[in-house]
Amino acid sequence: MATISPAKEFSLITQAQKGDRNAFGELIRVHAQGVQSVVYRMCGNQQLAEDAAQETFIQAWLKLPSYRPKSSLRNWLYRIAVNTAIDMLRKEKRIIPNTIDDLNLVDKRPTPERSLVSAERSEIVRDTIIALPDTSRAVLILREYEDLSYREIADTLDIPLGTVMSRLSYARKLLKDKLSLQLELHAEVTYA
Amino acid sequence: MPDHKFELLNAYLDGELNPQQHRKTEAHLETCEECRAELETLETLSGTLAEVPLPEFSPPEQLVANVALQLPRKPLKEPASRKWLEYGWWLAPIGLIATWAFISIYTVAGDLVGAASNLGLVENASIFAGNSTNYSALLGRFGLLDPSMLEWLVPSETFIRQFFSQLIWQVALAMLYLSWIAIWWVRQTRLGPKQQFGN
Repeated sequence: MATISPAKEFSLITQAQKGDRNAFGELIRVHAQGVQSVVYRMCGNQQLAEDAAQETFIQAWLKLPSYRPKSSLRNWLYRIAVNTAIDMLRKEKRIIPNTIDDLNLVDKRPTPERSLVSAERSEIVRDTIIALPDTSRAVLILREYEDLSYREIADTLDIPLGTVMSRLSYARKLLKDKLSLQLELHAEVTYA
Repeated sequence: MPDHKFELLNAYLDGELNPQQHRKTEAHLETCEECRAELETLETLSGTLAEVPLPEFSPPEQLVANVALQLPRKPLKEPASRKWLEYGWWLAPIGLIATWAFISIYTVAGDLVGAASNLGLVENASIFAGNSTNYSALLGRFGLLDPSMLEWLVPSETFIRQFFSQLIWQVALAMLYLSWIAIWWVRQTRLGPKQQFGN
């Protein structure tokens, strides 16, 4: 991920707020990976995630004049990203999970068979995450994949700290219950 | 059998407990097998989630180009409603102080004019004079109160009514002002005292 000093980012935001597209382009380069990660974890589909990431930055540009640098730009973008991903999923009215073949995964396993098993496991986990309620899923993703603190999640999603804790606990409990069953079934089918 | 601390295990795992809670939970985990097992499950779950890879997205340059194609020429102006809300927010305490100052000046001026009127220095002081009914005087007029009682009841009632009316509006204004400060403080605390940007 491209990194940038807070002072440089502040300068880019100020320029972008005045209509400087190049400055906004720089901000996109810095935050592209984070936003793509959030929308993909929320949608579970690469194409939808690409569209959602694009839409997130368009929305960010439109809302930029009202952005106040009191909270981090990253967290502000994550908030837009989460809402955009949820909106896009609603518009699609269904979840379009990737097939394993669509996933351009880096093969870290020594054999194709093991790689396939790993990809299948990943697909099960990803689909189980996507089946979570939107609100709990957003909290889980920001915590597990973006490593945001509870306070940062509360600020990003504009919810109380206690709600972050309860939603995270709920999401993990649901995942634990669903995944243990799914992965057990998967293991039985794979190794039978 | 020890009380389980399942509700704290998520925050423990995420390093979100304060030092005291952390120590207590750690001590509890040494003695509670069920909580240890639950913590282990949560750790395994985190590990399982981390296994899910990200696909290879289009490079940032392509994203920048795609976004640039769809951007309007300039960012939209800040919505007027939001701007007025912002002005209104900062005008609220000024308005409250101005109201307080106005009522105070009006009251003091009324007292001065009343005093001047009593001394015969001002002829028409009706603009500042309250014309609300004095109930003690009214009851006295109907012969329901003894004249000796009226001597102290009428000024007492006037004093009490003036005192409470002054007290009520001053307390109301003070409460509104304190509420504004409380909301301002909460906003500052939530957004953080320093203006920081992304890490």
